[in-house]
Amino acid sequence: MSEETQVVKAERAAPERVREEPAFTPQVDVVETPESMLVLADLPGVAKEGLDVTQKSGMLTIQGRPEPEEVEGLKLDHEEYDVGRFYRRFALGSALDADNIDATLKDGVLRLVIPKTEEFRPRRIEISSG
Amino acid sequence: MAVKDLIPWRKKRREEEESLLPAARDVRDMFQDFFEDMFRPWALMRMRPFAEFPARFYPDIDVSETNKEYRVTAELPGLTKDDIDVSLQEGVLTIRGEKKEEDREEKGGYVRVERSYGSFARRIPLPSEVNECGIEADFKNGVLSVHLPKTEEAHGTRIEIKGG
Repeated sequence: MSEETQVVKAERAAPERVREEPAFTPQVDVVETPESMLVLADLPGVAKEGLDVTQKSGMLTIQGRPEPEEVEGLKLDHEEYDVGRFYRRFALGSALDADNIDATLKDGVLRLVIPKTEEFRPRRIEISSG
Repeated sequence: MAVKDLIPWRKKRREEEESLLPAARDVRDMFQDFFEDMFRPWALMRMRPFAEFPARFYPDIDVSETNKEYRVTAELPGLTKDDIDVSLQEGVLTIRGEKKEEDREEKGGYVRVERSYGSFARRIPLPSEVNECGIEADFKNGVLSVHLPKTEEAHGTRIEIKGG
């Protein structure tokens, strides 16, 4: 085994050193509407109590923890997904009104509606008849 | 970030190297699992026909067991109970459903698309020791769990040893 390969292996063995535990990146769709940005994030297994959405200095953080389920003597036979913490961060930018984010969680999908600030919304201009 | 990461060709090579290791691990796991699971009915489920098409929704499934039951769980975020159909026929559990793209029609303007949509069917062959009458399924927070009780025989019976 070459020296370089060993270095790569060591990195893989200790993922996400910066945070306290490994986290999964939830898949996200972002849709722009005239008035807002809509963010849809898949967080299967996460209940409202385990979800934490925070906004601080222009950064939006989504953290979710699936409801723990401990069953005695449960043995895994076939695994396609692993259960663990979800974590993702977004930069909001000045066009978005970070203080008025609307968040709803339903059937494992987080839906965030982030309104655009007044100056970035389309404005209808009244035409006065002369 | 190391300075050498900023040099494009250098970074590319490193990524290629990183991708080698998981693949090698998969092969090792595959052999190991093959021998461990050879007699399990879901041994062949590892082949994922649509895995190459990320645009199509293909839910991930875990199969686990306790002494009393088998348990099949599937990650189905964004579906409702009514979008999912669970059926059992000739020892095969089928989970069908459709993940609908409700926001596309009403809004448009996608900036980023990572989630996948569409209809799917996953078939899970069950071991013979499942009591088909007692199967229960529930759906919570985007996760489906199907509980399949084992038959009495599968629990195993303790054999008394008689003294001579």
